[in-house]
Amino acid sequence: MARAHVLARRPLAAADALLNRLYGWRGNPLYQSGSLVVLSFVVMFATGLYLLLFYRIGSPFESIARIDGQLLAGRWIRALHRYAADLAVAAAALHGFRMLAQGRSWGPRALAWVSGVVLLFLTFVCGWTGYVMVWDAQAQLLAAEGARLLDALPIFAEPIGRAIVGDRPIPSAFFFLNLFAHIALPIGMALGLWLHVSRIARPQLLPPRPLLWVALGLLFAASLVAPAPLGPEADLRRLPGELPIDFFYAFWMPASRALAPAAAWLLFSVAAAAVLALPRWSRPRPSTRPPPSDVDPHLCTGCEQCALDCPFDAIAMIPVTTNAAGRAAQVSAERCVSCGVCAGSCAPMAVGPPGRRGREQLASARRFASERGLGQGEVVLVACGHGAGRLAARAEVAGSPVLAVGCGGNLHTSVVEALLRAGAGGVLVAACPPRDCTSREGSKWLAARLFEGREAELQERVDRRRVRLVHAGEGEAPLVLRALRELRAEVAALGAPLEPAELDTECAASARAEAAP
Amino acid sequence: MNAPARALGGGLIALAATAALVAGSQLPWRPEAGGEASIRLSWRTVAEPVSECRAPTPEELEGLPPHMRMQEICERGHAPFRLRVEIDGEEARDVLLQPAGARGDRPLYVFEELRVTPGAHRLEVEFAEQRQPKAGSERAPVELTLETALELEPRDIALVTLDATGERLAVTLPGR
Repeated sequence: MARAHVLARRPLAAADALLNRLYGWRGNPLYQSGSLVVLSFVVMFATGLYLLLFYRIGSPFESIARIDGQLLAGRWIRALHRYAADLAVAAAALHGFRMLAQGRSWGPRALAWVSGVVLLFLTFVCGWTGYVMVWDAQAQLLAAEGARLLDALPIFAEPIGRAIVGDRPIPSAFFFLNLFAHIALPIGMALGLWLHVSRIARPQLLPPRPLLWVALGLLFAASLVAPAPLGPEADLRRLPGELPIDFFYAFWMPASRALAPAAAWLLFSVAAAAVLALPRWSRPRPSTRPPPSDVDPHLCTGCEQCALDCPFDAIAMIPVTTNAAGRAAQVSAERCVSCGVCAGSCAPMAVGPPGRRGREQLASARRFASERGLGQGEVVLVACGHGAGRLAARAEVAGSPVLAVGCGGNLHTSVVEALLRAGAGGVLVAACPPRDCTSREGSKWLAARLFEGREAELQERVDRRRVRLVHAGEGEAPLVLRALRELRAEVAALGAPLEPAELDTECAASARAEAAP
Repeated sequence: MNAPARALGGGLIALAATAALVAGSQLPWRPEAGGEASIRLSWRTVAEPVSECRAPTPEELEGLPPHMRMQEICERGHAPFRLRVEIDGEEARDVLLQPAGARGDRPLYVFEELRVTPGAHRLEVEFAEQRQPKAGSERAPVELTLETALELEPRDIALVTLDATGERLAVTLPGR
């Protein structure tokens, strides 16, 4: 399964690298697949309200044809509604693939996976009802196939298929039910979305402004240039001929029509169960799963920074009597995904996953410096294990020693200072682009700690000209190499680095205070 | 890559993605390869109720509370129907259809769709209730038959259903 992960990540990394180059990581739509789905639903809601004004359940096809005849509004609003629905499916599929390939779908994230799959299924059902409401040739096909499948289930007293046989007009109740489901389902899906993001802090539901406007502009342009097709009216006494179908919502029909209803249900059930179970197959073995963070109550000062920074709302502050603040952090093991962001945000190095807390990072950096013997002026590359052009696996890159860290967002700023004090001329930290950090906000908080004075900040005494942060995804090694070259040149011009000295961290200060009589 | 090249590349990819979305939204598809025609059989019928009654055994009575000890235990339902369809002298369907409902006491629905090549066809349908006539029964077992010649154009659906009296099978063709 690990190999499957690697294989799945490769095309993703290549596509990310290309789009980062063209749009920059802030505008990369692949990083915004989830928020693009929400944007699509907002567009569908707005355009759907307009369509609802003109839709008539008593004459569905005629009312859609009338809407299509409104050249100034109805035609492109209907097309916008349809293309937004297609974008929702495409972006949701991409989002799911990304989360799975990056191993972000198991453990506490399983709730988001399962709710996401259910939301996608409801999107298909909602799309099915929407297409049937049009009552053109595609609607006829979808209705007939849906009825054939539903009639195989022992739930309806009278087969639904008999309503669309063609011996009598379709009852208005049929279209009313479709309309009702088409409106009610999205309301239920809003609750599903709440559940989907319930285990993350500060969910970004909409894409950044520039991408939002570009996506809207492209959808708008597409709806003007290529209006949504309206097939011939459904004729229940004739089989449909060649017609345009929406692949995003009717992709299952060729397979389904070729099978008996029971076989089609079996196929769909197996496929749905497999998709739901994918994270279970892809998760690491229990022995290799990273443990959740824990807190050393003797070191915790109750500053709340870890609770503020935790991207998964897994840390709460509880009252204690062991420190002056009267509170200490407590990690919820059920919600903690072991991202390790808290390790980087804890100045006294009290919080973090075992083995990756600040003090352990510091010990590891010191060991690295003494074993490697950093030459004066040498630039050290601190590389994130998830991105950074896959350079974390190497001992040396273009003559610079590499200190690998599991996730750049975990990095404690004391590590940077320790490397400089150990003789490094400069430190280049290579972390994933903020919108693609496995730890969600890890890269964002890292940049804020290094350069914006966010709590657990890089101390003022450290020369910022010797520290550089580069955001590079898995397929962006050239970006890291270029940043390395540039930093090396700048460091060479700066002269002697920091005087080697013992690092005075809050952790050491706390330890001294405890040791004092 | 300089800024104009990035803008051009970015624009092209955005346009290609939008074009792919639009194309995926309206893929041409021919659901019926070869322009077939179809014979659709669809009707609803309510069969004569049948019930089999017997006296309960002492053991069965013993297992029931006193207020539930009936003199007779009756299995009620409707008789099944046999549907046989021949097209051009070849058997296309021969099925035993059960009335709907868990106890088989709901109406019986016939819904069959048979694909045929366009052109002339000879259609024979037999729909027969599968029960023995009982002494004193009000109705004889239902037995409906239809024998007809059809001329089907590509994509035509010939609909076989009960006529207005509900006592005869009839076939209608689109627009005819």
